[in-house]
Amino acid sequence: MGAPALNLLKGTLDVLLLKTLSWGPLHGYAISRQIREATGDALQVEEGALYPALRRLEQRGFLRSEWGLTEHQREARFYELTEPGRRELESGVRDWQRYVAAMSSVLSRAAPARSR
Amino acid sequence: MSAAGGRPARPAASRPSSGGADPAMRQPFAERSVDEDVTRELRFHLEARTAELEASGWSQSEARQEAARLFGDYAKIERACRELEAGTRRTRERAQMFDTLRQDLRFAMRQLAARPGFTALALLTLTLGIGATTAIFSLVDGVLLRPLPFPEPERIVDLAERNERGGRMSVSNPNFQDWRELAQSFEAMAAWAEGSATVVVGTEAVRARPVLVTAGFLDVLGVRPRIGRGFVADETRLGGDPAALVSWDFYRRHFDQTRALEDQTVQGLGRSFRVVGVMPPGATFPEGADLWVPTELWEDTSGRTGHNLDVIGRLRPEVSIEAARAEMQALADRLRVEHAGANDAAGVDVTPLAAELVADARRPLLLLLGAAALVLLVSASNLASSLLARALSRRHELAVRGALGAGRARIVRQLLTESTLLCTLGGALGLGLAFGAVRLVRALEPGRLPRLDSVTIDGRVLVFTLAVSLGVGLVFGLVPALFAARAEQDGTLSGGRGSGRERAWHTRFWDVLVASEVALALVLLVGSGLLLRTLWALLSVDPGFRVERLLTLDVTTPVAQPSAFEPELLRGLEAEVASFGERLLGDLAAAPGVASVGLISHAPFGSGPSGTFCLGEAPCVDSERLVGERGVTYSYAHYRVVSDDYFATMEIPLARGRFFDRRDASGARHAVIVNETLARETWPDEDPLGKIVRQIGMDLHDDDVAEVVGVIADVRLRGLDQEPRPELYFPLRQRAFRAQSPTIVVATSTDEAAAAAPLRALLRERYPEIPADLVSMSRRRTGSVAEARFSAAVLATFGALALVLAATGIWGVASYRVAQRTRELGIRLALGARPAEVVALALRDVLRVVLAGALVGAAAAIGATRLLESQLHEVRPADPGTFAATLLLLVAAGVLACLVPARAAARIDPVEAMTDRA
Repeated sequence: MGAPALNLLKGTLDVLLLKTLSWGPLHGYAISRQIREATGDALQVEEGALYPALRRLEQRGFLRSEWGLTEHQREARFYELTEPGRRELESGVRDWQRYVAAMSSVLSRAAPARSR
Repeated sequence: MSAAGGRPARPAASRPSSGGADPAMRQPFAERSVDEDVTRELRFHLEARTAELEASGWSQSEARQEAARLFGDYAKIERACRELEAGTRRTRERAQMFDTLRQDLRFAMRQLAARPGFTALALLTLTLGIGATTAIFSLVDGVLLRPLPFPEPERIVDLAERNERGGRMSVSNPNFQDWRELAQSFEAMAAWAEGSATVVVGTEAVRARPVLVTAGFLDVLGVRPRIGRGFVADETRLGGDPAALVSWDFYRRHFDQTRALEDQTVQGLGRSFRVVGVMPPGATFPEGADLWVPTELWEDTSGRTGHNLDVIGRLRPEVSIEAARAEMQALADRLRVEHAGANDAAGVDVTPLAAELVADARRPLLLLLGAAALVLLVSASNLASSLLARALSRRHELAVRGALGAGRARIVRQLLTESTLLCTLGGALGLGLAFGAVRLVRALEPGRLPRLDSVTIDGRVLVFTLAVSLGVGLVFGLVPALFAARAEQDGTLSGGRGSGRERAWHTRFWDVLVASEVALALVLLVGSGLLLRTLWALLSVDPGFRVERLLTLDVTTPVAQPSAFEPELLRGLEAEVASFGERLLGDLAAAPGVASVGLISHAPFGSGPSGTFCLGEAPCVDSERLVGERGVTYSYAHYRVVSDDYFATMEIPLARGRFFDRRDASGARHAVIVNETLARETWPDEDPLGKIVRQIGMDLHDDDVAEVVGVIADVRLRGLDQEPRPELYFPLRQRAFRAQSPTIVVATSTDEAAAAAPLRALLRERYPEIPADLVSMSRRRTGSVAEARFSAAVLATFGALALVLAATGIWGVASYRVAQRTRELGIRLALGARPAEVVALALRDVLRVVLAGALVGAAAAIGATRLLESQLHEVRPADPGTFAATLLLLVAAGVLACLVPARAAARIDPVEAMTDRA
């Protein structure tokens, strides 16, 4: 939860949110719970930070939102992925995979390089 | 309390049930405020989180605290969300607005394209109205509104002296010198005097407008030469190096730009000037000046009554013009006391230079702008009545759209989009028209309209045109649009024609539109009628001298100006001027096709010197006091210097005595010829011949005695609209000093053009220093009424436009009336009414409206034409003839405009009319 972790997460949070919504519309609380469950609490996110991120994505046209009723007839704001959002997710996933691949290839060679 | 609580593990629980809530339960975004929207969402999260924690065993209060901790900084997040939400909504609303606008525009475009006749007519109307207004506005903007092209132009003022009667005078040199030394309000002060001269650039003789300026002239204007430098101290003193500045245009026209400036000279005014600088383009003051030379090169010994200088000053930044006025008045009072009797200036006028330059042009230009606004009103009314007609013919369509769910506001907006689109298109076309008109005006050079160079169609004019177009579209589109939207609510769909009350309402509106078009057109026509009569009256004024087959030539005598103001040197100069004049006259008189030749110091139809003269043998000026006592009578007259044959050449009749001849040699007693007005006013019951006249302020000949040898008939010397005033004429041989830049008049025995060719050849051969610009006297006469002609031409164009527009409007309303009553008229015809009766019936109402408009217009014109009074000549503002003729013209146009619909009415087929309800 320190500042560096949050910074690192900044770009990643967007991808995480888009991915979570790729299975269908959800309200904010459900999104936060899904992320929590999917990552097994490994990623510590301030739960409130989701909301500005969601709205930012909405403003950029990747999401649209709508008030609706939950199963328990409670009013909640539901977010849904748009077509541009789906494309953004794809490119985000690609970037992330390239990043991970590059990182892990460097990290896996790290030991022999240091022994010289 | 529990939102998703109870079954937290099931994500599906959070989805909207059945792919979305019941539509009826949803709240559109716009109906919930930004703050509420955000707060609700965040609250929901906290509540759901609390419930989840409680479910896993937390106590309620601990769960609430934990949920808040996990959430983070609530206030900060809420603020961020609110800002983002507000931004998103703004973007969305804007997008929606543009979307609607695009739809409306596309629809409007289709509507306009679907009715090309209506669209073309409306566009033409608007093009003319907006074009006229834009053209005149660009004139007003360029001439009156635009600041002078100098830094901080509001600080530049014009200073003039005032005499005891309050009349403005130029400034005398000694007074100017004292002002410049003593006045504290000014950062810089300078004087200038304009001359005209032939100068030689390289080997080319060109007529130029040189301006003699004092040191500090450029400081007042706040400009530096674009190339080279300004004058230095050594050039602004008596006997200094002759240096000149030239204007940008003059430099481009006459100088070799590949050579260094210092190597090029201008010869003229008896000196050879080194050109030291070129002024920046556009920064030309006074307007039309070609070159500036320091006036200090010549000695000026004129006294405090010699009003020869124009003075300008730059106020200090902190000094107001009122403060400067107060200081200058105090200074004038002091100088008047100090030089009692020798100083005739009672006060000083301090005016912003910009206002002073355009003082004469302001009123005529603003009147033209007013006239253009009337044309715009006529065309806008015309547009409104065609829009109303459109709306009426579209009632059915609009009613259908209304029934299909289009709200009233939507329909009004759609119709307003149409009218505004029309006006914007009309504005664009009008701009094109104005562009052409401005070029035409600039080419015509309407008289002495100042600052014509700064008249262009530019950003300011564009903004004006756009504002006018949108304004007309909205204001004049609104009433028809409202009416149409109303129609949709009445029972139009059910096949009716609207309620009786509503019909009365729109009919009355339409009547008012047509009546105002007629009224406005009448005002414009009366105005143009008056100006045309003025022009006609001016051109038919007999000036009292020959105009036909008469050529004129402006000449600058090529003699060196003496460097000092010494009587001996000046007499030599005078002799040179006189002998050059005699030689030139002799050569021209011998040319083929020439009947007679004369010379006058200042051309007819133009201004010239005037001054005080006194009567009798006693001197009118003594060394101490200007105003003599001993019963000397003073009077005021215009004066000119002429050659012997001038009067004969101009065919000006001699009333008494004789013309000048050889007897009036330079050594002989001086002679003078007076006009009848002077003779009558000065010696009402006596014989003027042999009387003695002394002229004051004629430089070399101050107080010289002159004997009246002849009286000539009165002529319109200074312009067709100038009543004859007292005039004195002196012979060239005796008073050539004032005739150094005279005008030669050549009476030709053949056609002017035929006679001009040999004269030009002669001038080129024997007088290469004189530009052979021969101008016919009739052209000078036309040129002298250029302003009147310009105003009359513009107003007549506007009047004609308004007439045509009003006629179109009448035609429109008459056609509608006939169409509306087709059934009724058909029944009447079937019942045996004669076609003429039917026509009269259909059009009686329209003609009544035309007459009402004409009467209102006539009343308005009586008030409006009073504003024209100062521009009229020999016709009164309420001239009955003009009013009657205009009324007749308008009513005739109205009847004519009704003819087509009337013929249609007479040809109605009763059977068709009664069965076809369309």
